[in-house]
Amino acid sequence: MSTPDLIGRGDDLVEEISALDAEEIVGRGPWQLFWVRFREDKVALVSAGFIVFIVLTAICAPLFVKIGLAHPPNAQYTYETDSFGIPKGPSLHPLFLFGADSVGEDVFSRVVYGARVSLEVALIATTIAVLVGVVAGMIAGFYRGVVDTLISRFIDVMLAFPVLLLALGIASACSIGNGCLGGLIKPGAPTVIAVIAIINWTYIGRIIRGQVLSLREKEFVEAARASGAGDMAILFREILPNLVAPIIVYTTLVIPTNILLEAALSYLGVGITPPQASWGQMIADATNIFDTAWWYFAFPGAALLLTVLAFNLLGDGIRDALDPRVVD
Amino acid sequence: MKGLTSQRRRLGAGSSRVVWLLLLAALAFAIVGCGGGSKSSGKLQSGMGVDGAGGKKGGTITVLSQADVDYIDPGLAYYSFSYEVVYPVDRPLYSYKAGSTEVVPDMAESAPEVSADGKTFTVHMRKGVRFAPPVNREVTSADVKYAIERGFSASVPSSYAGVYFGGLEGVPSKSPATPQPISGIQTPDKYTIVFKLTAPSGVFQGALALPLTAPVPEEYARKFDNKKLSDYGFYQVASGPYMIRNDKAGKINGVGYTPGRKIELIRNPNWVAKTDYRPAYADKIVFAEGFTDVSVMTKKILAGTGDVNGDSPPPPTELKRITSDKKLNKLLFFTPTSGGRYIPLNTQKPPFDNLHVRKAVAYVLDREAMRKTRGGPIDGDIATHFIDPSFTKKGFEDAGGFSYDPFPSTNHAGDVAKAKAEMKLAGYKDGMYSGPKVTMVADNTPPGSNTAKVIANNLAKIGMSTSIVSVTHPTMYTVYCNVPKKEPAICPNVGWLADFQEPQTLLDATFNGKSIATVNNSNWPLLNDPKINKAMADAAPILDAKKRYAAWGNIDKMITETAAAVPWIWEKFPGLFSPRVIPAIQTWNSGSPDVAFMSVK
Repeated sequence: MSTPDLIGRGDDLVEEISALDAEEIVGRGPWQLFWVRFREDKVALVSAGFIVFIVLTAICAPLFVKIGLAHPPNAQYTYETDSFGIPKGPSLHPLFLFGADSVGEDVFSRVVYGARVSLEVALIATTIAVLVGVVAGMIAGFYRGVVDTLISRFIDVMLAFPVLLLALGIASACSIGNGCLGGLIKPGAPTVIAVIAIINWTYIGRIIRGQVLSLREKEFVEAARASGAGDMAILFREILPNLVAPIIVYTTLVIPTNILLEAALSYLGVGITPPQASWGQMIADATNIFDTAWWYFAFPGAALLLTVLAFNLLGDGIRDALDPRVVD
Repeated sequence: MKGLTSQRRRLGAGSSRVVWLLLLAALAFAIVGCGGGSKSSGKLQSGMGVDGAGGKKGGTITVLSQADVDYIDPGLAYYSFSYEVVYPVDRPLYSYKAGSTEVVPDMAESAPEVSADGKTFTVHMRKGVRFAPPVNREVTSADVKYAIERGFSASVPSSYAGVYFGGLEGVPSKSPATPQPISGIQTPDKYTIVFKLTAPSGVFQGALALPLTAPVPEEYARKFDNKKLSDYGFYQVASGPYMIRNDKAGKINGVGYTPGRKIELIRNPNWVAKTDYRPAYADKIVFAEGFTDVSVMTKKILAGTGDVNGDSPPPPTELKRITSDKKLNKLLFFTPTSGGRYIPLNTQKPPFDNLHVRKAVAYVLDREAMRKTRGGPIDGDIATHFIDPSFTKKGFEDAGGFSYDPFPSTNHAGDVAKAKAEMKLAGYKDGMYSGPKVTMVADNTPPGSNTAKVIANNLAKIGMSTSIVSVTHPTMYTVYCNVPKKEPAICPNVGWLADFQEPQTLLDATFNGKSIATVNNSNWPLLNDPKINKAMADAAPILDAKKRYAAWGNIDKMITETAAAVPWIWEKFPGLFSPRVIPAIQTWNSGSPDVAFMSVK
């Protein structure tokens, strides 16, 4: 049995490493190598730190309310809008760190709770998309023939749809009444998750299929087959471990896209249903009055921008660290 | 009926009874809603009575608008902005002076003679009124007869012909393809027209001021009206002081009218001043359309390169600036729109089939907070019943005016204690609701979405949790709130505008059990109260105006007390006039500018 190598280029990598550390030859696993490289990437580290921060913030959202730093996200304070209905800006007395929105809700609180929604939707949707994509890609690449043709052409068809239009179509069909598929997909977050998953599994499916097509011809697969391993064993015990790197890289890069897609759908009014807080929806509501209430637009906008940026930079960092071709 | 400020959506002939406040109107008000920031220094000027007095002849007036008229054909026009063009160009039997809501004779010479049984209306018409070129001849009663008859044909699908003129004898039950004679409209001589109704009607007289009664010369219009869809609008002939500029053959399309771009009015050379009450000061009026950026529109008006906003209110920042500037504030007028917004509760399904639950909602809603979602006091007065303040002396006082409020609370902020008491009467322990979630179908954009959020927040105070379905404004109407089968428990973003100053036009289609229709329904609470239905049947034929208004005022109270719908705002439209003109307002038409009365200083 072979050790899992990185994208099938283990030999080159070993040469590289031995050239670098000629004196002291230490056996390092691929994850150790990854960590050595990743540690050097300050941008990626900061991004990772920011993501941890956002995740903690999202988890602790109710805590902020508890200690009095924020108001409950759906509570409305009429004194936070003036007689024209214009919201008031950030203030310490009363404590509205990010100001109020047009119905007198606490923008800080809603940004924090919005982080929950964004991350929840993006992570769950990405997980589903990746799972489906990996399984479909592996089956297509491994069995080839008719199965491959069916799956690949289906992926081609899916990819031919304009993403946002398809998303809008599905989302608006599911966001009225009881949802769609007989109430299986409820309006709001479940719809957004379903839409994103439906749209996104195809990309990873294609990548994985390509990888599997070449991996299945490798010697270690032949060896496994010779020693009597069945299809499932080969797929999941031999091939899958070799796919970890592309899966991780792809996942980290697709999460920010999905956060943006959720925001876009909510912005267009077919995403998260009110009164649940969502960054996209806040930005949409704020566009009408951004010249008079900049805070309503700026804070959810900044939160969205920074989160997406952090995930993108982290994704880049992970890709660089996992890709042996990149030499410092 | 007429859209409030911006574009009106016409939903086809079948929707004739329905009068919507429209999406763009809503958006436009969204913008108003955001206006201001500090308290305005000056008092807000009322648009009532702004009649353009003291003008002098000459000059050009430019009206700026976002969008085009709904129809250029006077028989089809059904939108407040279209009326700004129709009334200076066409002369209905009756119409209104600027600054007033009183009906005055226009093509007619005097008020109609009504027979004792209330079924025959005889109108004597003015002599010496002539059509504009290319027709040029004198207007006769046959032209008015034909104008109304064409409204019943499939080629001129008028939105309201059936509603207000359907009571005439001999009205076809199915629209004929082209205009056909109606026996209930008779023309004993050139200057007399007689209307015979199958039953007495108190609103018929008011309907004679709708543009459908403006004369159309049959010998000229026939060839256009005989098409599948008439294009008479593009070849129309004026009877008023102005005409849309046309070529020798009478064509206006591409001459004085470029859809979505401009409508150009010039003087009608055949108009005789002594036959008309309109001063018609300006020599030329240009409706310049396509100002999608209302901010640019406002700046042009303040700079005097445009004269008035035709279809949309100034945006937030500008309204704030204008109302807090003593000089600029003088250019801005707030006119009540005839109608209002209310929250219908579905009376045919739990929990709102219970009177006490509805009353609890009426008590708990924070109308002040709701009004803030549309801009606060600048957007209008808080409504406590249905006949609005534009109906001064026409039912508003009879319904109790500003003081009648069966569900009072301090500053209209809601009374939770009373609401809970009502919930207890409805059988809920501790006054807290315990049933399933209540569905609300709301706009997906502010201000409607914000209003829904406030309502959800208010209802939580009596333990009622809500699920909000967010859709576009037209979808809210056509897919949900207008379809009884799919109607949710609450429709938070609906409103109604009256067609003319008769309280029946506010209450009949909206609260009469007989008005409930399976599609295009506008009785949103699905209220079917035999007592109210009967009171309406009794009030409709009353010919004595005072008694009729009193009867409808009383019906208003009866409806309000059922809490089938919770009224919350009587809106106002802000009209901004440039410093170079003397303002005049169609007070009767939701505060639109009246170009036949405006003049250049």
